[in-house]
Amino acid sequence: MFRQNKYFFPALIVLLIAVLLCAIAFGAVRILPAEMFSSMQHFFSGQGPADIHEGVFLQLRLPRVLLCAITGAILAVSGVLMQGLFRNPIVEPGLVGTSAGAAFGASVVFVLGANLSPELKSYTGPLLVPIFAFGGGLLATYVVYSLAKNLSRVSIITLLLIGIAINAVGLSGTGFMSYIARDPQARSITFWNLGTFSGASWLQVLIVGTTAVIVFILSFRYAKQLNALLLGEEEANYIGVDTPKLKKRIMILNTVMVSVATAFVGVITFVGLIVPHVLRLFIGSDNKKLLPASMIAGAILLTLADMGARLLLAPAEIPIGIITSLVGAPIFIVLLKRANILQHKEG
Amino acid sequence: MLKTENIQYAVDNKKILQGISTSFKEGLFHVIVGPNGCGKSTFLKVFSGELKPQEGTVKYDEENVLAIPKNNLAKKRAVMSQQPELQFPLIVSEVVMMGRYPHFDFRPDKIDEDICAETMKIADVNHLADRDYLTLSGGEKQRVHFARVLAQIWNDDSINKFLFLDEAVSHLDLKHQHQLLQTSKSLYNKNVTVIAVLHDLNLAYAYGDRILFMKEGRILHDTSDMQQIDTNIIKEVFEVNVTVFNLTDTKRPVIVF
Repeated sequence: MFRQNKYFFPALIVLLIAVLLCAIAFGAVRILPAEMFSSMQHFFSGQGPADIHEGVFLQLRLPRVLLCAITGAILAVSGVLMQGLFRNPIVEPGLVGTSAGAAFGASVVFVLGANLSPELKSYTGPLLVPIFAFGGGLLATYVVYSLAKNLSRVSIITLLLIGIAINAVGLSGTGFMSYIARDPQARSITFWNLGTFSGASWLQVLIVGTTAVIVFILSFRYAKQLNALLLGEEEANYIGVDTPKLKKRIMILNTVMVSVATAFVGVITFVGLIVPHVLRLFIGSDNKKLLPASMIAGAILLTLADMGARLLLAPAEIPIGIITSLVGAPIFIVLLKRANILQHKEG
Repeated sequence: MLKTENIQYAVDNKKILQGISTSFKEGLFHVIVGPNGCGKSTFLKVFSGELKPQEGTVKYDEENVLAIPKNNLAKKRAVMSQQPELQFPLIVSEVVMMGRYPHFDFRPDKIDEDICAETMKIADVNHLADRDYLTLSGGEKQRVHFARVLAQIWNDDSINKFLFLDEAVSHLDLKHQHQLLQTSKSLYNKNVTVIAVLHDLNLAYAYGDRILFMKEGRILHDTSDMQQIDTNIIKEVFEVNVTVFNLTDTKRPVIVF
């Protein structure tokens, strides 16, 4: 099992590039490879885009595809971190309250935005929703973590249960906001809760991308310790891991990356659950391989999903969360079933 | 030298360890026996620095175990627990490599690979190296963990090292029980002091250099002379009537029920 295929990573990278190119090429406006090339040429020589195709490529398609790929990578890596931390393969990134908190934060802006002070709005500009979402995500996770902390140590099970409870609180808060909202506001909340990349901009790519690079470098450094944690906290201590410190750091990394990603694109479920799971079937749970593999595969999967979101009902756009769940869930079930059958044959 | 003084440990006012003072001499194979719930595992956890006793200190060569940085501690003592929970698919060689984690940063060095190969051979799991850990039998899993803890303290024989085994042979067949204990006993030439919790008294007699009988959080008897262990001691500790035979050739007793 898991015979390390030396072509696995190269294949994954080639696939990622192919998917990225396809996602850039296809859309309401078809963009040819020659146009991508000439557009880049014009950009780097300081000229404006030569025609509408080049403009679409540079201002709309490219940032959208990049934001999507980076978000996918973040969600998948976060899934690996959370599943490793909780030593439970059915955990997903939002479990500790981050996405429910972010959703509530965003819904507050959608519904009560008109009452907020104009100075605040002019100061934050288009970042108002992301800032509230980010704050909501951080706050919810912090509450979960502090409540789960009794005396000197944080028990994983308590963390999980309190996470579920705070998630419920966040959801009901969002529900209440939709209830008191007017129709268009409620619609914004619904859209946000299903995720969308339609508002992607270079500023977002920059913020999310920088966060991703920093967080990935830091979390890959914990790969070894996360492996040790798979044996249980006690065993991890015995092989020299400072588990309380590790848990805290992983929680912080996860909160930052999920809050940032969610802040711009809304709640996207299932990617963080399915990607690590599927990859484990192929390469096992060694985090030294699973983390980088999930990063690439998460980017591929979410980029594909966004292509679907744009193309399936074109010119209308489907919220991406609907695609990830609707397509992801059945694939997930099929793969799990197949894995079960294989294991029974082996056993 | 491993030393404790007046260790007290309680959970919710239930006293689990009640004033344990003892020391373990370098290179010997110490066995702890006693009925269920007498505090054997807690004793090991306190000794290995996992649990902080309410009173008393554990000293490794005069150094308080709780003051030793975790990574340094991991290089000088390894613990094989009763049942490590590993529910994720991992290949066996990576599980064994975890024993080397305190010794390298990101990538294992050649020496780490070599040590793992050697300890996997010793624990008789080298043929399982590429298998998924989850598909192994209970005994095979236990041998994988033995290879892992051996790898953890395999090199640097210049320092005193310690190996704690908590019912390490519970799932093993006869041959592997003896192999594991023989290997553990031979670790004195690597400067390793072994402290093992065992349930099988005959195995304890056969391999132990010294046996500690625990009951209700105390050490009731502590002896290096196996022939001293008579029917009364067994009766007092385990509340079971047995017959003790002393074999003339090995000078070690055998008990029969």
